Amino acid sequence: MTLLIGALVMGVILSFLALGIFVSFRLFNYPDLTAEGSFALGGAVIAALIISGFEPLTATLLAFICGCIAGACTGFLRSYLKVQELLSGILVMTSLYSINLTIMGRSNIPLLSDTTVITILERISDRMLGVSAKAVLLGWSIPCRNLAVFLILLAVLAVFSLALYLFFRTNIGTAMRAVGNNAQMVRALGVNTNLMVVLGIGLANGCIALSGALMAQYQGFADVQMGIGMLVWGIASLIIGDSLIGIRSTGLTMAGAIMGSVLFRLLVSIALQWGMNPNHLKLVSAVLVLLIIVFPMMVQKKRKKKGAEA
Amino acid sequence: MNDRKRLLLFVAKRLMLGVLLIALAGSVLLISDRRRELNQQWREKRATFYFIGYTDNPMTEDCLNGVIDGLNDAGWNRGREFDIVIHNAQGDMTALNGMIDNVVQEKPDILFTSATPTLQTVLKKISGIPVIFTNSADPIAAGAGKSFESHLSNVTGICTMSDFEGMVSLMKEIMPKARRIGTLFVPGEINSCIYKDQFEIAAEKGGLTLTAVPVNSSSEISVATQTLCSKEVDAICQVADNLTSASIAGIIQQARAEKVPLFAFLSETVKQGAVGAVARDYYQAGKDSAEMALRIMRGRRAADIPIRYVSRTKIILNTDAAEFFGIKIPPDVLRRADEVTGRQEGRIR
Amino acid sequence: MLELRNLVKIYNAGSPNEMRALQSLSLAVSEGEWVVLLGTNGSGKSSLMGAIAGSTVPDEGSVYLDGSDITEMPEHVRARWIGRVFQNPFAGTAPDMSISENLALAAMKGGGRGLGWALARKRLAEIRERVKALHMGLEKRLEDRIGCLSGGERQALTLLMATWIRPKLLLLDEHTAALDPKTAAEVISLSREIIRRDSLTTLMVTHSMQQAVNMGDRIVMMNRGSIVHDFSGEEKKKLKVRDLIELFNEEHGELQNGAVHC
Repeated sequence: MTLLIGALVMGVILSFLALGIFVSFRLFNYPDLTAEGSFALGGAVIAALIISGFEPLTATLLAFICGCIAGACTGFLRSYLKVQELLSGILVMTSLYSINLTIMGRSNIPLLSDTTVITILERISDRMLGVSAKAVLLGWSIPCRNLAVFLILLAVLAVFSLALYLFFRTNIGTAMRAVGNNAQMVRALGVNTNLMVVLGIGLANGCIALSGALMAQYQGFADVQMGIGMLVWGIASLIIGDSLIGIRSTGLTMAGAIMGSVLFRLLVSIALQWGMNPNHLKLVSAVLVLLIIVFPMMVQKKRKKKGAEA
Repeated sequence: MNDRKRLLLFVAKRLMLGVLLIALAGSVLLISDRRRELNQQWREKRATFYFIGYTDNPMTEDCLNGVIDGLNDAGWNRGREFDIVIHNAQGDMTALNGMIDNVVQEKPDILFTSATPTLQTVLKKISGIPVIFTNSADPIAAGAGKSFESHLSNVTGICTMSDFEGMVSLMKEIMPKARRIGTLFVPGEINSCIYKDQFEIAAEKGGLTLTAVPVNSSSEISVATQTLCSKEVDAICQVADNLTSASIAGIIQQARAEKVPLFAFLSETVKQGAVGAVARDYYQAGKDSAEMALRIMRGRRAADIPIRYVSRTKIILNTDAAEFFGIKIPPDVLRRADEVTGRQEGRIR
Repeated sequence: MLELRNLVKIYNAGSPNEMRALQSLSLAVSEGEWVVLLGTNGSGKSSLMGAIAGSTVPDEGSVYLDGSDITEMPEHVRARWIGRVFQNPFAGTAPDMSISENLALAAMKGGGRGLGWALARKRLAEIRERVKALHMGLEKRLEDRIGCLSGGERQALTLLMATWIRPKLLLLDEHTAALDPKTAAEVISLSREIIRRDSLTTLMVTHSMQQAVNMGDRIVMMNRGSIVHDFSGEEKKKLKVRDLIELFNEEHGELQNGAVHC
């Protein structure tokens, strides 16, 4: 059961990452490679602030804002300095490596006995339900604090995605969505597309940094290399979500990204638990993603065949 | 309106599919967990050990072999008195997290770790299982406790901080005219930075200056080594972190091309062409860890076992390499060495 | 209303591919005038439209709109006063967003782009009304993605979007060229209706001499970056298609594409 809850919590934390990647890759049609840098930036900022005694909730918010700034830089490079999209992301990502090292002062900061958002949640659960309280679900017992952390993070994710969804239905949000779809038209309607790109990519990387900050607090340390491989995770979650949902509506794609993130983590945990050689982890992940994409297609083909024969 | 309804139905179906798949995956996880629990009850009373490493490198392998041989020496045999599950995260932090989660599920009798990142992840997540770190440069900085005596109650192990003063004195004996030594270091690995700082202090004490060149990934190794050679160092004494140990062959190649003598802190580098090494014996560290493990299995608490340095440091020399770099090793150094390879085939003490 | 002074645009200056799209071109359009711009490919029509709208920056010369110099003004700032319909039906709308969302974007032009609701009830009602007035049956499909609509429907919507808030200048860039004759005729009559109703100053580029003769108050003919003929008033009304063909022949030697478009 701990494994399940652990996988679910990771899935929820990485959903913020998936949402950020959704904003840049889908809404803005912008292949933004800053993700690995901003993820580690979130971790770096939160760790540096927490060990200096900062209150963790404000620190998490600050990590989000730092991510927004990093993304805004990428957008700025693209919009105003006309640097090509891939290159602008790479430039910012590379710079962030050194910046993160400077922020942390060292390559790795442990957060063992410090107060983090996670410990705050655990303490709430302890106070309300007792330290060794265990919940019993269908015959499995789980420590209440782990369950509490999961449920509250899930609630935070829900609220956050709802806020994001509503934002994209406002005037400015709708304009942003149109920029990725048809920038020329949007300019002819008076929207400053350059500014929209800066704000939008900023928002995307804010989400990613938020994910990094939560991850650092959950896993107990921040490492300058913690962003490596995160871009692939995020994109894979998006793709899985797409295969499940398959419609282009904003809200549904977001829900798909979140489900994709959780599902992906679960599948990987299953594979590990079945004694798969961890060296094969990356290959198995690729195969899993492939299966999830291909499966609905095959089902549809079969259905069409049946329809044609009938 | 009919269209609308159809659309909503379609959407609901797809969302349900997603939730269903998640529930399915979750139940598979739970069911295999249940199966394992039942299995555990039926299993014979064999001890279960886990060994988790961060990257695949010679240090980790030596530690692992040391652990197993140490257990064997005490009469514990694999498959009879104990089972051991071995995992390596191949440098992937997410995979490492997954493995640790798995260990929490499995509740082995003892968890052995290799490398500092592994130790750090474990420290956060594991509290009820005894943990023995087989190698770590600075376990106190990693968070294992306040001192070697006063540490976390379920964690203990072997500190494998390199013997920098030993290397400095070896250098002064073999290359008395040397003034500058160099090394690569990895800013992104905390133990590498610790090693570099400690080495600097030891070098200064011995009247030498240390030049350090940063490197971040295996693709940068050749260029970084060339840069180091161009800084007019008399010799390279490469500190032992995860990245440079895995890429040591590249460093040796460049050093030979530039004819800058190479020394190291790992024993295998000598066979590969380094002139000499002042090596913490990682194999011995594994054996020392096994000995700690046995004490715990026999009833001692991990809290009562202090962290210690590895019990053995070896000096290993390669006379062929020395000749290649134009160095003459003084005969009494040769006699004191633990291992000598090369045409003056050695006695292994 | 619109004044162009000595516009020059040269592509690939100095190289063997050098092309002088606009050669010191000057033009004045008064308020309420409907100008039809004729010319073959390469005459500089697109560069001219681009210079006015802001997507192309002229090398020399200036553009004045209602007295103010807008030559350096970025495209999206000018868009407040300029409505534009493109030739490509796909260029004027956002294909993955619904009809109402696209029109809401048009309604936001010139202000109100904060955190207000894009599809507030009042705006939605206005959208429904105006789409109904098109008589194309689209008011029943407001939530459909524009990508599903036909080229003619999209151009009609683009036209609606360009004139949602009355623009000072309407630019129609061969907006029926990609449509079949029947749809083109519908879009043309819609254009006429809107221009007359709102008394819009219009600059319409077209290939079709039939359109040029039937519509607008003034014909301006371009060739190789300069204006070669300019007919207005009575003179323009007397022109027939064959007159225009003759003029073209004079300019180009032989007519490549004299077929009559409807």
